[in-house]
Amino acid sequence: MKISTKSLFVLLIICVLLLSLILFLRLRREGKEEAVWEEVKLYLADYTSAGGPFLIPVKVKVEKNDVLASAMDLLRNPPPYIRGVSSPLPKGANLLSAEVKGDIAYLNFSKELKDNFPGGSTNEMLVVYGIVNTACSLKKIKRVQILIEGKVIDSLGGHLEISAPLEPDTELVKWKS
Amino acid sequence: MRNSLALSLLFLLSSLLYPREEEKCRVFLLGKSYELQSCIVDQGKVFVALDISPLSSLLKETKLTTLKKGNETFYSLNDLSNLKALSCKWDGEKKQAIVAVRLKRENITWERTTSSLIFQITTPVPLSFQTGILSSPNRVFLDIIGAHLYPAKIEENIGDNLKMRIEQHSVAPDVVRFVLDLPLYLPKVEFSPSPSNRITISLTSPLKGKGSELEAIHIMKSDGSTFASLRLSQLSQYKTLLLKNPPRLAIDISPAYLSPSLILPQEFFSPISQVRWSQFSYDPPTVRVVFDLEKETRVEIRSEPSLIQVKFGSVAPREFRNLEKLKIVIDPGHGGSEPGAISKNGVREKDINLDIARRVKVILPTVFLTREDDIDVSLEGRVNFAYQVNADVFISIHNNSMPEGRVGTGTETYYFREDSLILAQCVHEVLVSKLGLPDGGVKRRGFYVIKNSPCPSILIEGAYLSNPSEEKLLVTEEFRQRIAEAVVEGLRKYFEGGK
Ligand SMILES: [Zn+2]
Repeated sequence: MKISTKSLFVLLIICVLLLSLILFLRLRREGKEEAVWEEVKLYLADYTSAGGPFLIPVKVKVEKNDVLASAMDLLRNPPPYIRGVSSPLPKGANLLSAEVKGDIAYLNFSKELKDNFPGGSTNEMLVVYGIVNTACSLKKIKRVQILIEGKVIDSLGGHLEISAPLEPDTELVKWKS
Repeated sequence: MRNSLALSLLFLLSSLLYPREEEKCRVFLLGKSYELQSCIVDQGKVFVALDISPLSSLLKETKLTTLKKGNETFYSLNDLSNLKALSCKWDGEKKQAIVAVRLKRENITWERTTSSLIFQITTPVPLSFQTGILSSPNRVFLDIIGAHLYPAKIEENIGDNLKMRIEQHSVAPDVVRFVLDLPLYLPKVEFSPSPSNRITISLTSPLKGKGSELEAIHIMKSDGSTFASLRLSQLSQYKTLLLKNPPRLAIDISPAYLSPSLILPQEFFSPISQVRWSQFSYDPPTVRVVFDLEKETRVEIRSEPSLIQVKFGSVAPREFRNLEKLKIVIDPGHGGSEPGAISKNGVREKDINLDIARRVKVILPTVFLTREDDIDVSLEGRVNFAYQVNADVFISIHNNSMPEGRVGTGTETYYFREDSLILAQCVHEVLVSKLGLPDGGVKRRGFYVIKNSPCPSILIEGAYLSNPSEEKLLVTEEFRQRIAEAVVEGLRKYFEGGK
């Protein structure tokens, strides 16, 4: 069988086109990947430093399309490479749902957030502002309403009122120098 | 004499035997490369034909050995290298000559003003340089072209988390790289124009951003008390920390920047031994002012929109008021369905708090309790109660806890509003001395009841239920009685100026 130079040429063109298409798609995907991340500051608890406990902001990138859920998940299970800090959330406290209306985030947690709260006034600030400050480090969120199983409650532990949306608070925040 | 004669003879002979040969070489003069220059290597001496006018300011009082050949003038590299300001090298294999400026640590200086940091690099002749600002991590670099660094590497901490690194980045071309590591923030960076024999880099705080500026720190003495005031360009939030070992008062103002024309105190008065200030952070912009104190001192803080005023030392005597005639609200924390902290052995905070509050009422029967039994009272309900009885003062009684795996220790007292700071200090002093536990300090925290009560209000945390040895104390009547007595004594101190 003899292949004409013309058909060889066509084949070559097709190959080149295919290759550039693959390259193009790959590049586009890479570009997209960049755009799906948003930076969030996790406010993690530092129980051990002198003068503490403190909330330490740690910057991480989370997926944009489920940013609140990812941020709260990381707040509950901080990445292992972040040392010296731990999650301020009580055991078993899971985010059930999250909704943003205007600049207020409504974060609905499982009942463990209240039931497993161990007490302590400063500790209550760590939990509440760990959540509020983390959510408010995201674009567009200015206040947070914490809900337990869909309901507004007065207080987690009897020291802070959470019946209305809260703004971030830096009283316990320590900036790593 | 005879020696030198012999030497010159030898020299003459050798030059006859080995005629000076001209060859092509490459010359780097102050970092600039000149190809195909004429060079003569003679008896280990190197002569290069070169326009040395960039070095003219150095050569005013120096006579260089020169050779003339045709219309070219050859300069001795050896003579140039004898100049202290220069560093010259000859690579016989590569046929390459280098003439660079010798850069030493003493040529690099830096100066700090209230809002800027200025680096200056002085060189004997003008040098060109390239600059850049890089992020993640934030750093500033400056490549000085045509210089050799002695020693080849310098690293220094400038303070404020700034690190200066200088090293020989390359030889031929000769580049010294100056890097400033800025871990926290990217200030405004300005470089002097290139070339220059006085290179400056100035780093300025990002002023006029969102936030106020700290314009002045004043210290004065009046009516036997020492006052310090911080003047701000506009209202900002602040928090105070009274610390010990060594005793000091820190005030963090945020969002705020240091004004470039910050006015500083001329004189210190006791108990202030020193004042320090810094741009503590840039994200968020926070200014920290620290008053170092000769001894632990009571402080009173007032703020107006653009002024924070601190009164040190003996607080002016309050108008004497008989405790029995005042409306004092004692608020046992938690209750009913809300137990508060629970120790490992099942001791509930709500019970301990209520018992202490009842003991206060036994000592001082005129006090009002927000709850007399184990019942639910909302945070709002407690504040409303203070409104109803038209309270003069409100004290919330709690005991602390840390999450599982942590213990916690000591006595803490919280206040939120300025009108409550002195009350907090009075009660806290007695608590610490009567309980003998570690002093956790007087801290400003926005707990609901102390934020919203209509009168001076504080929240005390006697001891930690999560700490087994403190739990042991809390279950004894004697210890709870001591807390109750400390509360009353602290109140007396506050209202009656008593012991
Ligand atoms: Zn409590």
